Amino acid sequence: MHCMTVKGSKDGDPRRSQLLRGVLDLCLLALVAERPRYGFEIVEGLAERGMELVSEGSIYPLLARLEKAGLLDSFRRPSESGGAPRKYYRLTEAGLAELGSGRESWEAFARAVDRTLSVGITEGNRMTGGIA
Amino acid sequence: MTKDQVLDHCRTEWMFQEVPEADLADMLTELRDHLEDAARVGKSPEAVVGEDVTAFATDWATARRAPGRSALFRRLGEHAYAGAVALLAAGHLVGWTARTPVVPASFVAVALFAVVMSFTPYWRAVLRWPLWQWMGLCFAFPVVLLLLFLVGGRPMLLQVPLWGTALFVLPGALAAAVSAVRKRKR
Repeated sequence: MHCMTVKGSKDGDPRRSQLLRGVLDLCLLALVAERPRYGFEIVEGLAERGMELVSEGSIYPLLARLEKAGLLDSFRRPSESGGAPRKYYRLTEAGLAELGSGRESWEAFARAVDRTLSVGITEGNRMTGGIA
Repeated sequence: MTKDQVLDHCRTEWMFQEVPEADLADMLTELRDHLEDAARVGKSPEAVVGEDVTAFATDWATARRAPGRSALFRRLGEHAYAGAVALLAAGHLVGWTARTPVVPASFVAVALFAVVMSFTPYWRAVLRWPLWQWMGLCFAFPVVLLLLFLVGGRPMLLQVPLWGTALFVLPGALAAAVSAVRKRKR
């Protein structure tokens, strides 16, 4: 699959990329749920929230899959900045439902990860490496 | 890479991947818009499509197209038909004869041709090959055919007369003509 790593403090951090890969579809649905957007606006929306993609175009295969799955719908209209009509994406009813269930899954998952990562490291473990 | 080079590269890739024309035009417009927006804020085309334009184009085409099993069988059938037509025509032309023999190797050659053409991104690969690979292909292809017909050249199963070949070509030619007329009307 085409690379969709994010820029950040550590350019191309593989963990960050893996994490994003798992939730990028939800992020796209969320941005489009806010208001219909075209591709470049979606990338800008991600960047404003700290998820700057190394290859911005990697959203297009994903948008195509979401549209094919009936979660997104597209239409053409002139952009707010003027110029030729752009292809805007908007959420369908199925997309809204998917976004709702995706949010719940993510929140439950994030809580579980938080609980796990916030476990303190005992002095003994730090000295010996901790794992037998 | 410039914006136009990226667009050309993607157009070629999508054409060879048999993305329907309407979809191809839609994808090109969307990509052109994005590249222009990116350029306006000082980003390079690489920031949009990454370092590997082919991978980018293939991903997008796959997501848009997703051919089903029926499309694969149709493609296999088309390639087998084209291969059989080419083999019969070559038999008449090379032997300069009105009757061309069909031997077991003929079926193997047609099947091989259909499988290779259907399951490999042949055009993309061939068009970007360096010279030495082209020369390798030019040498290997006749050698494979020669070996095939040396091993499977007997017994002769049937002889196809020239009118038989013409009759065999007719449905394909009609289908191609109908398709061309429809395309022109659209």
